[in-house]
Amino acid sequence: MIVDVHYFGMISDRLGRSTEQHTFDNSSKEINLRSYFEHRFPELKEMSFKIAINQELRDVLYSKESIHEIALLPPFAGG
Amino acid sequence: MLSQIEQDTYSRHLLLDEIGVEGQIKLKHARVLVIGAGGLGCPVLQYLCAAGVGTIGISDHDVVETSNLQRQILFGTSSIGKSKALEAKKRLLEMNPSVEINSYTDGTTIHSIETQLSKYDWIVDCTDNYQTRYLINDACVLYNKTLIYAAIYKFEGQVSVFNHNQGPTYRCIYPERPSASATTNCSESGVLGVLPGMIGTLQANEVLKLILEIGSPLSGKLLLFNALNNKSNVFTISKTNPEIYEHIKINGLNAEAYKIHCKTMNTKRITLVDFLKNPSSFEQIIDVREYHETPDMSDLSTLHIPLSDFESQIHKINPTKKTLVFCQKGIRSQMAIDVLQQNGSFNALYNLSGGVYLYQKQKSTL
Repeated sequence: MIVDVHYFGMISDRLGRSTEQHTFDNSSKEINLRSYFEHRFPELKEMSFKIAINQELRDVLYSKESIHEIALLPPFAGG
Repeated sequence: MLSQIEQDTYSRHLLLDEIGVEGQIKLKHARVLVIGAGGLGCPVLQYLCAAGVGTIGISDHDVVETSNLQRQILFGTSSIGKSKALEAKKRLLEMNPSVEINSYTDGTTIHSIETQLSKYDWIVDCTDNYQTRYLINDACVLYNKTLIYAAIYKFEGQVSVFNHNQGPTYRCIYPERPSASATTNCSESGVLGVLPGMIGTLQANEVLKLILEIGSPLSGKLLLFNALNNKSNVFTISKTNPEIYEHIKINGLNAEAYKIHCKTMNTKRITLVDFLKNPSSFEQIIDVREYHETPDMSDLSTLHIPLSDFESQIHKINPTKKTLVFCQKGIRSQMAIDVLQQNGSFNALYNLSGGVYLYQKQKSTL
C-alpha cells in the first residue's frame, strides 16, 4: 500500500521535505508507525511529535487497514 | 438591554440571525482572559474588543521590543520599552471604551493563575513557551475552564478548543513537555508577520462562537493551517491519558512541572543586582541570543554565540573560566548551560536570572 506522508513544522525542517510517499505492507500484521518512522529517521527519536492516520491521531496502522495519508505533527511553541 | 450607542456599534452583529440582541448581550456579559499579548494575542484582543466582549483580561509580563512591530499590530514605535499588557489596554480602550479591560503586567504564573482564572469564563492561550502552555492547560482542567488554544511556527499554525465540556486537552495530543532541544520560538526560528494575524483571527472566531453558542467549535479537533500553500487540515483528537487529569485534580498543580526545562538541576543563577555589583568577577560572558536581537550588549565584552549555532562553536568557550551565560529572559541561556554541562567539565557556569529583559528594566533604577 502506497501512502502519502506529510511532515509539519520543525519535522519538515529537520527532514528537509514536507511530503513523500511510503510503502507499507500491513497485509498480515499491524505496524507501529512511531517505531517505523523513528527507525527510518533516527533524528525523530529526540523530537516530540504526534502521528495522524487519515487525520485521526493514533500510532498504529492496523492489519489489512486501507489508508491514504499519514501526518507527523510536532508541537509549536510560538505565539 | 443594549444602549443606543451599543445598537449602533454592533448593528452588523444585530442583523445576523445567529447573533441579534440576545447574542450581543451574551458577548457583553462574557469574561475572557487572553494570556500573551504578542503575535496571537494582538489580533485576538483586537477582535474580541471590537466585537463587544464585556470584560477582557490581558496577561503579559513582557515589554514591547522593536522586533515585535512586524506582527504585533496593537503596538507602535511609541510603545517600545513599555508593558505590552498596558499598551494593549490603552489601544483597545481607544477602539472600544465600553469594554472593561484588566491588565496583568506580571503575566500568569503558578502563583497567580488560580486568581486570574476565577475571574473569567473563557481562557485564551496566546503564549510563546511550553512551560506556560502546560500550566494553563492543566489549570483549565483543575478549575474547569474552556481553553481556546493556538500556536505558530514559521508559516504554520495550530488552533483547537480544549477541556470544553470535559473534552480533550493539549495533553491528549502532547502528553509531556517537549525537551529543551526540541524547542524554538519566534526569536530563534522567525515567523511570517501575517501568520499570527491569520491564526489569531481563527482563534478569536472560536472564542466568539463559544460565547454565542453557534457553529461547531474545534473541540476534539486540531486545525493546522499552512500559509505557504494555503492548506488546512483538521485532525480528530480523542481524550486520552485520564490518569494525568486524575493526578492534577487530586494533587493540584505541581510547581516543578512548569519550570524551565533543566536537564541538570545544579545550575547556579545570579541576579542582575549581584552581577552588576562586580561584573569583573566573571572571566567570560556569553550572549546566546541570535545576532539580530537587541539591545546590543557588547559593552560587557561578550562572546556572542547564538543558541541556534551553539554546539558548532562550543570550542570557543574556555571551560576553566568563571562564565556567565545570558539571553533575553534566561530560558535559552539555561539550555546553553545544559549543553555545556553535557559536553565537558564546565563547573563555574552561571545563568543571568531574567536575562537582558530584566537588565533593561532595572538598570535605570540601579
